[in-house]
Amino acid sequence: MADPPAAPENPGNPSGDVGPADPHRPGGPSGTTIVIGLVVTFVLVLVGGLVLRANDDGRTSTAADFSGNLLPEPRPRPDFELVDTSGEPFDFATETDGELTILFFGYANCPDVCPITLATLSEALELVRGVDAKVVFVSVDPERDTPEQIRAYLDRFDSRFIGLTGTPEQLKAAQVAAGVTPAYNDGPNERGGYDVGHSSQVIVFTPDDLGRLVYGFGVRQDEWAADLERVRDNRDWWPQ
Amino acid sequence: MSVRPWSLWWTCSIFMTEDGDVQFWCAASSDPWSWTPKPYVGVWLAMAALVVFYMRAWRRHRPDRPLSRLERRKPWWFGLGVALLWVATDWPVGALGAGYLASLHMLQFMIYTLGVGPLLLLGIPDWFLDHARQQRWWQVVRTLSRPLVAGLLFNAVLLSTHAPVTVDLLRATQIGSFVMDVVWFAAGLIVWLPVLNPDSTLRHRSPAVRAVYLFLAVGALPMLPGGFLVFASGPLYRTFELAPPVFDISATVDQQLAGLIMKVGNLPIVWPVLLVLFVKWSRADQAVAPPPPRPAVDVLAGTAPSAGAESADS
Repeated sequence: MADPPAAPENPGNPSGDVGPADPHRPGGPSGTTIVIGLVVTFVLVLVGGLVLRANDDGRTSTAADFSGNLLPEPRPRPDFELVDTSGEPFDFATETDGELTILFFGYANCPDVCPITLATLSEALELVRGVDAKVVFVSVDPERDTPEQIRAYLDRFDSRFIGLTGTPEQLKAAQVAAGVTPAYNDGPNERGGYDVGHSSQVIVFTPDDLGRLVYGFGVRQDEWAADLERVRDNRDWWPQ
Repeated sequence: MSVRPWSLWWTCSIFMTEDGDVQFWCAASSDPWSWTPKPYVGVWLAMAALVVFYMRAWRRHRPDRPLSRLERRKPWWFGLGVALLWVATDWPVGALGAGYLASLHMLQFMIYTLGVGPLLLLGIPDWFLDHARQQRWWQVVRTLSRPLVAGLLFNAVLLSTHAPVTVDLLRATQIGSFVMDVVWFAAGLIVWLPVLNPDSTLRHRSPAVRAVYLFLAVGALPMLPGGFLVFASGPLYRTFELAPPVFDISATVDQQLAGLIMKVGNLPIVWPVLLVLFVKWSRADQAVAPPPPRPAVDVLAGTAPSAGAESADS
């Protein structure tokens, strides 16, 4: 920061206050009134924002209102077999039987939806320690995503996340079994590769082996955390 | 040739389509971040308008006398201020701060309020204001130059424009993002008015008051919201939480970095200025200090002033 230039002080203003108002100025609201109005406006915006925020947070407090969509007809846990990141066969229905499971289809070169979703899930699970959920990521880009690459990718978020891959036919069958739209090559991108169009749905299977909740893109960490807590506590929404 | 504001606005609005290659102002986007530069025509127009305004005012109001060395430096201060404003508003900093990283959003705010504001005020010579002082709105500048008013207004802007709802609402659109940047720009000028006002009669007379004002308004109070950002349990801003990732840092870490910038980012600016103000204060104190007492021998010789005269002098 440069040295501010020395300026002559105001010898006629010993109080140190700014000078007197111009007595010849036209009428109308004074500067003080305008400034007070501006301050009040800002404070109102702030308070309004906080009220809106509080109401928004309260949204998840009602019994049936999840941030995800509660399916009226729960889906059965799909039965498909793929390969995990250590190269071993992974039977989804058997390996996740009776466990809270979060299933997501994506790919490691995804520039937006996949990293945001995985980061959100990772942070949400940190917020609700004690929720024992298996997060299963199924790659829909078998050309580029080797098991090693999937492992390295998932480790950026959470080393407990399970990564699966398979042949294009196996992956398509897995997506159909899970009830999501199969992925497709979305053409070249500006990064010199290609994008894959895929479903952004995240499906939550409860320990009774039914897919009851489906999340679209855009659910926040605190919303995920609140829902996962409710699922863990089995409070009020799934049959005993 | 005169340009009506509404026609300029209409021209700019052509570029306000969210999906066009050329956009008006940086706003949040769901597109993955790319290091390919993007043009923001509104930013260029705003910078050009500032420079043209300054050059015209310089030619129109320049006095018929040789300019002092300090006055000749002023265009450089102003130019540096505009350059900083451009860096903070245009791609990549403006685009990253508008929609990808809370830390860059905070850095933008710091550049606007701690760099651009003081530099632009330093770049305005006193004789620019001869015409302005006759205007009705000058009364507003006088009021804004009061430390209490400027400090309150600046911190009201700081709080309201960093509230999650405001950021998420305004950064989502180009016009909203433009409004936020204009408010920051104004706040950056206002907060420095009591200290660096081009009209020296509107600066607070006491360097001590200026120093305390600067410490409280710019140095101390922003530490509170900065602390909220650092110690929040999760991301507060939807815009940055759900933005495509950049630099591979999580939304929480990015927000903590933003809080840290808010808490300590002012130190390299505020403390050197405080030091200058304290030096001035010290010099002013020395200037009005009473003369040293005369040697005892003078008193004994009967040459010391009388008690009444001493009292009158002090």
